[in-house]
Amino acid sequence: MMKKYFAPILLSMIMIIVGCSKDDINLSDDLFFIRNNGADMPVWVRGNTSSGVYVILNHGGPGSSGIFEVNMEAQPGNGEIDHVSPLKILEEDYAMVYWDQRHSGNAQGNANPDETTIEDFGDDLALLINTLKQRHNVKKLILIGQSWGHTVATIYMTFGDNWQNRQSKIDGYINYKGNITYNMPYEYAKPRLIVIADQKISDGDEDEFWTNSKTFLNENSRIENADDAMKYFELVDMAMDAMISTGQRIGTSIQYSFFSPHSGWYHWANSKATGSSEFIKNLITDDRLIETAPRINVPTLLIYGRHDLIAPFEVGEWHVENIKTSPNNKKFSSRC
Amino acid sequence: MKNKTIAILPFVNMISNVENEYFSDGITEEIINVLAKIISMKLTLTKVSFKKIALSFVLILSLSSITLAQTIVKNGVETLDENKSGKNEISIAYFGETVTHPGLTLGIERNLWEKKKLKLISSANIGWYTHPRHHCAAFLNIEGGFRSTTSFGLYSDFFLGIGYHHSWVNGDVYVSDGGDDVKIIRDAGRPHLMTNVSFGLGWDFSKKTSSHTKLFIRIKPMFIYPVNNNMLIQAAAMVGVIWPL
Repeated sequence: MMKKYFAPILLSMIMIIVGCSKDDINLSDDLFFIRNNGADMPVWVRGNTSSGVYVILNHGGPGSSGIFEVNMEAQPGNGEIDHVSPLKILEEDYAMVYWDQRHSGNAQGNANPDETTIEDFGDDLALLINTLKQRHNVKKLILIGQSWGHTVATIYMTFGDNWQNRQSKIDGYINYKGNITYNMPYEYAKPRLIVIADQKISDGDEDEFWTNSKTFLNENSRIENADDAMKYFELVDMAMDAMISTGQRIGTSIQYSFFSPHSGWYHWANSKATGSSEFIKNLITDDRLIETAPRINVPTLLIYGRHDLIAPFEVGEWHVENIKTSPNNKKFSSRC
Repeated sequence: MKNKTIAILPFVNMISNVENEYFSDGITEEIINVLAKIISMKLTLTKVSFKKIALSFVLILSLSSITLAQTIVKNGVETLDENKSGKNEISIAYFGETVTHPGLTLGIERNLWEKKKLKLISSANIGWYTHPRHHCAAFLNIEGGFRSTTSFGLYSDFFLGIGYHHSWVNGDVYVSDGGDDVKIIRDAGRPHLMTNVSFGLGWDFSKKTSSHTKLFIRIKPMFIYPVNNNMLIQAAAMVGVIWPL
């Protein structure tokens, strides 16, 4: 009887040994994990590591995925899901570092999104930077903060007791359509949304939706809860006409699950968990970073879209006026 | 949901023991109750806590699995004595999302009751799978379910299961070693409760040949808790073979 089962048992043992073996460090494509306060977060280093210049992408969200955005720009300006991420182009010259934040994208572990604080995100990024410097030969380190990722970068660089030490570890920063609160972009976008609503109503385009939206805008000077935030995002999606259907997103996520470290199952579950968490509810009215963001004192490039209503260019202007970085070391672009 | 109706057909107690009538009635009532709640939500699922729905689902699955196991334990021995159909079989199957996420399961199945084309089956399984560069996992579970076989050998089956699932990240893990220092640690993995359903099709060669081998394919959605304090839903495809032990 043993002979009968020898082959399957041997096959299973080989698969276990091969499947769970640790990755060899290949500096052009290195994947590892950082563990902090319940979260296991993947970090994927790709591209030209011999340059010594490492660029860390802080993805948007909360709840999106940097690992996914290696292959795909999650919210492309052209509204097409097959739009190749511009980040890939940077891999030719620099080592690009993609990571997924706690309970986001492909992050594992058991970090409770209801108990997460913004400090956790700053600590996670600090661990990532310290790990990267130990594991790789990092000569220069640049941070990119995309949308919510800018919030994470700002927490790292300005929040808590250790912000000066943390800022000294990075050589430059790219604020890519970043926000630090929910209400600052809402307040800047509101006048333009009202103009768009008036135009849509006079055109007879989705008349009821835009009439209700205008009422919402006039009645709400601030976003106070998750329902308000959802309404704002829905409005912006309609106004910018840049929606990507959930089906398309899920389809693409599954497609990239086959041959990459990306897992569509985790991406979907984490997105749901983060989106409905107490953390998000608390975040909506948390304006503390307005007080600390002016501490940013590293060379900074700010990139904002002229017609963006989620991260209006006025938010970029606010940063230009308020951060401590000297005028020679900050560059603002809002032409696209 | 406008102009559409869902009919819930009652589950029939096919075991001679009438004491277990409550079980089939209970499943029917539970499905009606759950569906009624879902429909009354008017499909505004985006506003409903995903966690609550997922937890309810796991609870129902778990209770169903446990009750089914109890039924099997209570009735298994006497029915086996009556119709002599009880026998152990061993199964081995490929278990993975795709060929790029491979895994393997080994299981022991036992026929507990058989009537014409229908069998009540329990099984115990161990399994392992990997998503390269993401995670790998091992699990141990018990399942109970039904298998219906045609006279020429084609069969379909349905199982409910519950068990233990343990996952490890697939790569080096770094933690803070105080201050700015970091260190690699050995990952002990994370424990989870796993429930699952399984839908399968197979071929029983014993119906037309002297061989007692069965081949099958199955889809197995799994519900794993807790992952980031929430329910992780995964599905695996299985392709395998069953032999008498």
